[in-house]
Amino acid sequence: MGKIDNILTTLGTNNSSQIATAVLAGFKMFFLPLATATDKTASPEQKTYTILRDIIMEALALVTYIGVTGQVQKHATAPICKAYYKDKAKKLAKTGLLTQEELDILSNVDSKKIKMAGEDYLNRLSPNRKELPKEVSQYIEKLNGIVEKVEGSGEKPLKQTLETFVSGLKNSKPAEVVKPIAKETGKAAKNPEILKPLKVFHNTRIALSQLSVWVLAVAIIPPICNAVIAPLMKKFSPKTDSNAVKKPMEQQTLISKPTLQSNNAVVKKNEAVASFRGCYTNYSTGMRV
Amino acid sequence: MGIGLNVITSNTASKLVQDSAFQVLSEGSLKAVARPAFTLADRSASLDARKYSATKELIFQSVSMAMYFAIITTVFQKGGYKFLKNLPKFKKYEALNGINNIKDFTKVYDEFSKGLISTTAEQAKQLQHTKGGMEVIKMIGSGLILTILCPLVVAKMVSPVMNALKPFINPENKTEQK
Repeated sequence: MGKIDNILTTLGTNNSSQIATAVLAGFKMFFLPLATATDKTASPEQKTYTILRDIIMEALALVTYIGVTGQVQKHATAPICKAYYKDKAKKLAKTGLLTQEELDILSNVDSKKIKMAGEDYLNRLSPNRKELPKEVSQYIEKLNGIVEKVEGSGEKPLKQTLETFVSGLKNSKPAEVVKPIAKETGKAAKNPEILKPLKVFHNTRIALSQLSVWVLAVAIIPPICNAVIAPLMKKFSPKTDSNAVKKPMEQQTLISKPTLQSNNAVVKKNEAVASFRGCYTNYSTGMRV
Repeated sequence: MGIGLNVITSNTASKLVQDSAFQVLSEGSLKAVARPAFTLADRSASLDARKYSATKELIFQSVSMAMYFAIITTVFQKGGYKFLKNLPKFKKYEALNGINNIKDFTKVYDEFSKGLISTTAEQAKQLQHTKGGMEVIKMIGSGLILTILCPLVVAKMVSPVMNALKPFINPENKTEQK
């Protein structure tokens, strides 16, 4: 039950795009060619080409969605998180909400520590989870503190309990939520939204998975398939049909040849000369035909 | 740069991408355009074979997206939630008390994921498991429809569609036949 719970939690909270698309690609790799093979109206060459193309495309999709997307998530998430905080630091510098030291921390976040904390959170259900180093936990807490300082000067909606919210659904009227009055200062009204490090890491990782799948599906897999299919078509293209097509033509030429020769006056003369020569030859040997 | 970063890191994008319906439909719609184009550009087979393959790919992606909208997002989601709630594991979940259909569950989970509903650790786990269970049901539905039912339907549609499109195909095809 532990493994099932882990799968359900992963799919419920961290459903990266490559999971569903890779599973479907794996199934399509078998069923699409089978369906093509059942089409009786298609020629053998059409079927061969389409089946080969389906298998190569879906096999490439299965491998690249898991492999390449995984690597993109592993290496690109932390740098994007760093760029995100740098961008927020520039905007927050104008609001005066943070001290210079806090702005410097945001402008130069340690992406390695964010990556360690993010991966630790992803592996939280794993029995082999290693303890996160203290300095990393403290760093993340520091960043969280800076984010809360920015959030604290703005409006915060109140939380409802689950039971209250569900009873509101039953009554078709949402429970009235009393919102705190926002501070009427220009600085509070212009707060840029800023997320905590683990949230940024998680959101970025998920978005990168989808972007990778799109780029692979549109720009990488089809050209590779075109390159791979060419030698395979030479090997697997149905040759018997082309020979069968040729045979009737050859028979036609064999049939037509005698009639062409019999109608040709020059050929007739040559035939007569040849037969005369044949007699002459026989005469030279002393044998008459 | 700023807009791109805001989109990639946003909670809205994260929530949208984690929906397997969005994953499958977005990928399918891009493939419906890209794959036939690359197929027609490939020179390793005759034009006839390439047209057959490209037509089949276009029909498959279009029909599968239509089927996905018609069946997965309606029948499988609605029926799937009811089926899930009746499973022994999910019957015991107190967090699902009062949440009787997928529409209500979606509202609850949206607010929960934004952090606007306070729950106990056990309730949070139960909501996450239910969401995961719904994704599994959608994947199974996708598997049945997109990989088994749809290819069989599409295989029968390709030749009639190609015949219907013949008058609109360029005259090069007519000269080859002559």
